[in-house]
Amino acid sequence: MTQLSEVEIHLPPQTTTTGRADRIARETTGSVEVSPHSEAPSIEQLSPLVIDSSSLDLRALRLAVGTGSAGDFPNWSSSSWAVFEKRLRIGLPVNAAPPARHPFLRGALDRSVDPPPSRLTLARAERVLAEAERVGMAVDRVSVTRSAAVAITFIRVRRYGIFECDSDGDVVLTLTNRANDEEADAYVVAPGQEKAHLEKALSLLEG
Amino acid sequence: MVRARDEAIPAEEPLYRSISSDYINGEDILPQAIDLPRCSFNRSKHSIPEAVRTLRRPNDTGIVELLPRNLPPPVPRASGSPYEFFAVDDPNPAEDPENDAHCEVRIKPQGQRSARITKSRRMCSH
Repeated sequence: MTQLSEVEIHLPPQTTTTGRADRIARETTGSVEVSPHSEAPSIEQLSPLVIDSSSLDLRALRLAVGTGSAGDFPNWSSSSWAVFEKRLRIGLPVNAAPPARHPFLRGALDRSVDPPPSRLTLARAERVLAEAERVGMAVDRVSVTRSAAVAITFIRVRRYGIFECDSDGDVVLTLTNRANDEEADAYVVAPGQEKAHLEKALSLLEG
Repeated sequence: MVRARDEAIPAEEPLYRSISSDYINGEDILPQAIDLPRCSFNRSKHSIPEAVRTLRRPNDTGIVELLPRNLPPPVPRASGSPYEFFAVDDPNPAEDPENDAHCEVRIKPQGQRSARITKSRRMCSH
């Protein structure tokens, strides 16, 4: 069983109306929006759905989609499956209902004149902010960059811990102490590793 | 008429870019204010500093001045040549076609020729 909190996935609409994917999705979420679709769609054509689940059997879901009523999706390449599974594996906030956006993030989105960050970017940013609250770290700045990333910044005088959530959903933590001109350290933050990296940031900030 | 591209930007020529106060803390500019691998600026040879402030970016009330000679030193890598920063003239780019003062600070592996880089991150006007 692949443990997931909440995932955004794309399911072939035709399959979800009649196939096993629909049943699995309904069992795990309680609601699935579907729309008629006559042919096996490409992955780009799939309707976005949000599934809230504390656990989801990835293999079963893949099997269900692959053997659904719309056929075996011959137009799905291995890379399409890879994209599909990557989307499945991206953990989002735990709440079943769509989480209320952090006020700092909401403010940053309101101020931004650039194209909005992707849902994936926002989800990763929400996760960092939620974990920061859990560990008692007060965030100093949240901003949307020109490249549609979300930057979450912790500041102690001239020490900085910056989580940059980019448009691909990748998160990089940069730790830098501008007072001593040392080289900055950068870490890739995998989903689920937010807390550990926040503690790393806290160590620099308070050190 | 589009002006001809200069081969080099003098090391002492000020370059300008607008910035939001979100990215300033005391004397520090936060790294997320900088786009990589290409970051847009205006050249002082062809524009005044205030030209980087536009109605399209109402929150960018500050102006950053950068001299090419003050660009960061090469960034070492575990393998491969270090990345180096350099300024390059880039008048009237597709994303800002009316701006003939436009230039960019880019990065490339040291020793390699400066090729036209596909923007991996969305860039926009100042």
